[in-house]
Amino acid sequence: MPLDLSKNKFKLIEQSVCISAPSWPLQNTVAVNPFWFLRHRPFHQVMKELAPILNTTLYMPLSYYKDALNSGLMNKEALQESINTNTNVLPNSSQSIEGFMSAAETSTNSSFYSKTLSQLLSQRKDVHTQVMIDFGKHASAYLDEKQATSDYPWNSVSFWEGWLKAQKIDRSMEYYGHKDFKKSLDCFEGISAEDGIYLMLEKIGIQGDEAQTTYMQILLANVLGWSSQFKYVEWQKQLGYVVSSKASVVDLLAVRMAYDYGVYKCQEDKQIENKNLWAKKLNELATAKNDSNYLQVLHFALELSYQKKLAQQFSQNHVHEESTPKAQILFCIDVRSEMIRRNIEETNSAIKTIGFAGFFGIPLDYKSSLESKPSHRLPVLLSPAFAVEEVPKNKSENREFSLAFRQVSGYFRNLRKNPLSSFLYVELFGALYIEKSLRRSFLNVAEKIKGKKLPHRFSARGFEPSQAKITNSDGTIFETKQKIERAEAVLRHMGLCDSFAKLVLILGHGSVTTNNAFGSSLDCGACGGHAGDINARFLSDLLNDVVIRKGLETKGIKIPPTTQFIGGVHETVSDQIYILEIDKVAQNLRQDLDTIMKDLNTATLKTRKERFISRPDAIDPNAEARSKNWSEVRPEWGLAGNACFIVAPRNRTKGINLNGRSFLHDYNWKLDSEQGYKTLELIMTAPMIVTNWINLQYFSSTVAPAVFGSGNKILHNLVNETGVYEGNGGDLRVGLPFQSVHDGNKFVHDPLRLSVFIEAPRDQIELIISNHEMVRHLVDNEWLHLIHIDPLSQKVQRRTCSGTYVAV
Amino acid sequence: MKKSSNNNLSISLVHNSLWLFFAIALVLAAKVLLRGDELINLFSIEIYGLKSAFALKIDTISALMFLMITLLGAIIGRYSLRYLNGEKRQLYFYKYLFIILTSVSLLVLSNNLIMFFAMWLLSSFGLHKLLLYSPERKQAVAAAWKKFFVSRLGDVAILFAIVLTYQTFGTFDFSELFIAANGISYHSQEAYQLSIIGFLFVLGAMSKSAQFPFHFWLPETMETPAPVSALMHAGIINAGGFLIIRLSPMLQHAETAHLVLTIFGSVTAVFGALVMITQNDIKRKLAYSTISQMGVMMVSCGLGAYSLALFHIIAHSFYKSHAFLSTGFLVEESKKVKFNHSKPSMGFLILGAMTGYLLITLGAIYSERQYIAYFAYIAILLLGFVQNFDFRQNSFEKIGIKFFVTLFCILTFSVGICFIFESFLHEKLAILTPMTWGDNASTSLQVIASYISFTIFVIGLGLSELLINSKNTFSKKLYIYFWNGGYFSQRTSSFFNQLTAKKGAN
Repeated sequence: MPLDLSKNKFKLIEQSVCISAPSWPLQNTVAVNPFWFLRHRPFHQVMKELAPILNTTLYMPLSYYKDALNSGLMNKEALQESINTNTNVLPNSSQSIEGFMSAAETSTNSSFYSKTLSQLLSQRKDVHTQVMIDFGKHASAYLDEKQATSDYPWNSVSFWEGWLKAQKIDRSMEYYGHKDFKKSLDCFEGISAEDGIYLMLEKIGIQGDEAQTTYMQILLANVLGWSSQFKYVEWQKQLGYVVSSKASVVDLLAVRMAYDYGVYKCQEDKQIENKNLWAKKLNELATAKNDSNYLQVLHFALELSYQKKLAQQFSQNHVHEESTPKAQILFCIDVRSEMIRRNIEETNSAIKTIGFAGFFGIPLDYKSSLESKPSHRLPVLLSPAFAVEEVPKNKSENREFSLAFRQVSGYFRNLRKNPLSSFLYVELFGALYIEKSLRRSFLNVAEKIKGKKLPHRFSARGFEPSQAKITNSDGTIFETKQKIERAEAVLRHMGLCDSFAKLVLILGHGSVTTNNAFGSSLDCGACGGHAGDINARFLSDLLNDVVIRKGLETKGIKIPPTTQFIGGVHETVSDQIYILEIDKVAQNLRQDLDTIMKDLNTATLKTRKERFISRPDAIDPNAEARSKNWSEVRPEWGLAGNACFIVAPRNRTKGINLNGRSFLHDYNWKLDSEQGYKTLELIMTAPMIVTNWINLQYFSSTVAPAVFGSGNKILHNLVNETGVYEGNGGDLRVGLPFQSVHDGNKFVHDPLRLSVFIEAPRDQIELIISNHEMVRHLVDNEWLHLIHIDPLSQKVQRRTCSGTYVAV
Repeated sequence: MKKSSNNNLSISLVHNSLWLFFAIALVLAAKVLLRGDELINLFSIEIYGLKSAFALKIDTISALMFLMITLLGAIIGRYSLRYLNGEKRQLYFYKYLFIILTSVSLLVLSNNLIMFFAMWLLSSFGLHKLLLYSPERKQAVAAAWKKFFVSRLGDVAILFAIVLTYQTFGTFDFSELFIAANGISYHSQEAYQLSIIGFLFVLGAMSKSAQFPFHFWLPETMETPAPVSALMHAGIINAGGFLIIRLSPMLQHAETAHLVLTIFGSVTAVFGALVMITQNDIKRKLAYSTISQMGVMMVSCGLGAYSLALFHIIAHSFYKSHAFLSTGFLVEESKKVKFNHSKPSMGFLILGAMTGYLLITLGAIYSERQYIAYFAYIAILLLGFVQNFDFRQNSFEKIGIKFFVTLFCILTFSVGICFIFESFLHEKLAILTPMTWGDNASTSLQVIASYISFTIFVIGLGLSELLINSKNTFSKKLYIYFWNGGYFSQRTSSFFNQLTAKKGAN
């Protein structure tokens, strides 16, 4: 039978795979907007269409909004406004709040159901679990580079091809009771994944573009975790990294479909009627309307309420006068910085804090002497500009020795990994684990006695990021001229071109946790899921360099010789601030630094208290112990609560309690206007995207933890050392763990879409929106709210999806 | 609000009492060390003429096991305070943790078969409850019932063994049994019955300690929280080995049962280890590691090296509980520089195997075979060394003297502990039992067992080399076979599926 393989057909596959977004390995997790490839379509429409496919509502339950209304979190004015503006989705609904709420109460929530064939056939035995376990087994082995000692023999060909070959030997499905599974796959020999997909769709009997797309999406949703890990491989390839794996989502889709096809073939006779009914339903599902319209209105009202409150605070805030600060401290825009910045400024008003993306404009690849691969310390949307190597500070033998030491201790660790030597290992070293278990059990107590010192993960260990061994991505040397250009760009984007204080602290942030597989999810997203310590150290070294300063002077940026840049880190579990390389601070500045550190300490204590009071449940009140406790599942709340991104001078928000819910980016439109609004363009195309990713990750992990969250930490089972199963196996779990957004009684994150407040001329904002498709999609399709603060009249207005502005 | 504070109180009560247990265990261990064995009488009962005196038997074996169990329990208890915080079922966990630890403690301290069996059942019950920690998870429930089924098989065997023991010797009391068993003559009716008793106990021990082919439930129990896994893999699963060690003065006369145990133990060890290296997720890997380590433990039991088995239980328990509690470290660990050592040559492997056979032969000649079990055990460990030894790498040259001193210290320390512990135990256990099997006529069986067992390990070595280093069709088939755990899970799932489906329907 000739196959109809027109281009249009492949387009369907392309459309279907949009449902999966990449997910990064646990070594450097960054938050991802799981709807990233659907951004060209309106937010609410996507939420409603995905609901039946994912078998979950993508809003909070009605009770949540009712509670919000009762507690005042949602104000009535906002709800009324939301009802009025959404008459198009609920044309027949009552316009009064009471009428609306009672109508919402009685609206039937359609029960979703979408099934894969394996789920349909699971009535008598649990075929679906068998399929999922077997699929997970092959997918994990295919991607595994670390965990298993022996490799999957087919990981050098495409997943589809490898899987077909493996199935010739693997008898699992046969033993599960699907006798002819292997035989049913014979017809795919030598056929590409795309052709295979269409052949299967035809043989299963699913007709029509809509039904076919829906079916493919259901299948991908079924293995969302694995597909996002495969997508990650594709993403890395697109950024230009060298990736040996041939993983592609289309192959994965073909394999998943082949399971459905295989189990269906094994019991065709009995289930045929059932199946026909199911195939028909797929068509209905594609056009099904679901009843989340009330929730949509309520959700918008909740966001409006938040915006209104903020707007009010802005208007009440009077602008403080500027004076030359005693010190300037650069923070990441991260929401966790907001609280400590406010407390620092309150403690000592002579300290000025500045918010900037936490990689500080230094997109580097860092080759640590301890790690096997370079770490990409930059936002994941970019590829690294240059690579920096770690070198010993004073040419000691340290490095040679530590490498050799690790090599030999690695030898003994290898004993554990080989089959027969594992017995030897336990015999020799097993008993030593008594000490290890006890030490780890009481580490938090021991640390307390020792007092605070720079955590191990930030300590320099006698090494530093080299200023000499820097290479461009093409392998050429990164020259002084380029360095000066980079330094200039960074300072200009920061708006830090004059009135330098004596001390300028550059604080990256990172989280110190113990035995936490999700540790990197608490680190800096702008640094690609790493701590910001290296970027801070690199930049401060760069800006302290006399040659660079001379070069900057020619470009019009004069840094006084008395000014020193100091790299530091904001540890987010305990809110402690550490200076990374105290030995690099000039002696005459030590005293100044000490007084500032005292203020910072006071701010730390205030912040800790404030953080604890805001979410007291299920978290250990002793912040320092949380870092060192190997059984801690909630070391910190991370970015939970994030709701807005404010792009404005700090004066606009100074003194306002933003409750740690706000990303803060310092931006001065006047300075930027001299540069042709380059900074604004950068902010809207980079940090705004990153914050949108973070925001929608928290959103999705809260509204649908079963789909977009990685489940309960206590059941986590590391797979390939890069991801987790929840329990035995099946689909990989991606997203935030349940413990990160929930305290056992309630969600600690209110899933509001990001409200981006920008203080800049409106026409410039519009220009950027029209120039960048990515930004346009996000704004026009309401993946975030864009709110304009007029620099002159100080009016706060929200941009609607049609491009008009309405008062908040 | 009030309820949760009540819960917290109960939880901290359990947690503190676990440390109290550990303190008691310390005191008892010190007492044994200083004053020797002791029997703490509890009560005695008589039903239908069956008289049993219940007491706590405190000797080197039980004091050590008690110490280990209480320490593990306390560590797990402390761990779960924060780990399970915010969980609806935290108190449920502590309740059954307490039941399990109490029952396992009493199991190792029991002085007669009745008490032993009762505690055996109670700990099994507690574990079953913990495996059902997440009753909404289908796979968790399925695994719990698989385990339930296997355990009951073992229980039946042990029940028969106990009845038969009473019939043969007229007592349940361990000390009386040991004396009676030592007095029987070869080829008598009692000796015949004893060998049946031996088989039954071995069957029970095998089912409890996840020996091939009773292992299949273990890798599927990852649907429970990590502390439950730690408790299971470090505490309860050892009970089978402990049973053999505890009854060794009696069972040593059941030579063929020992032979069977050695062979199954070897197969389990090799099978588990081969499956282990093909697994892609950490917990399944750890589960198969446990299976293989339990196999090794049974090999030393089977060969009669009970002190080695006891040491292995302790070393493995701490290693494995730590491994389950610390999987989160793996992510950080995996970033570090790795060193893939090249593999030793074929000739070297053959040389290693030959040396092993030579060692066993030496053991068979030396000192009237008294130490054959130790020779065999060392030969097996030697294979592990051979497998990882790579004399072509030059990394050893680059390292300064400082490193060698450190390395030497570590090695001396661990080998030292091993040695001191074993000679101490050996001496203590030797009082109870001469270290060879039964009569002279059948000691050759022990030599045969050593050869068979070692050969199985050598085959394992060969297979693992094929599995890791080769890419031919046969090795692909091997890979698929071991990667699927020999299809045990797949083959049993339909059967148990129906079983649990019925349970659900009821």
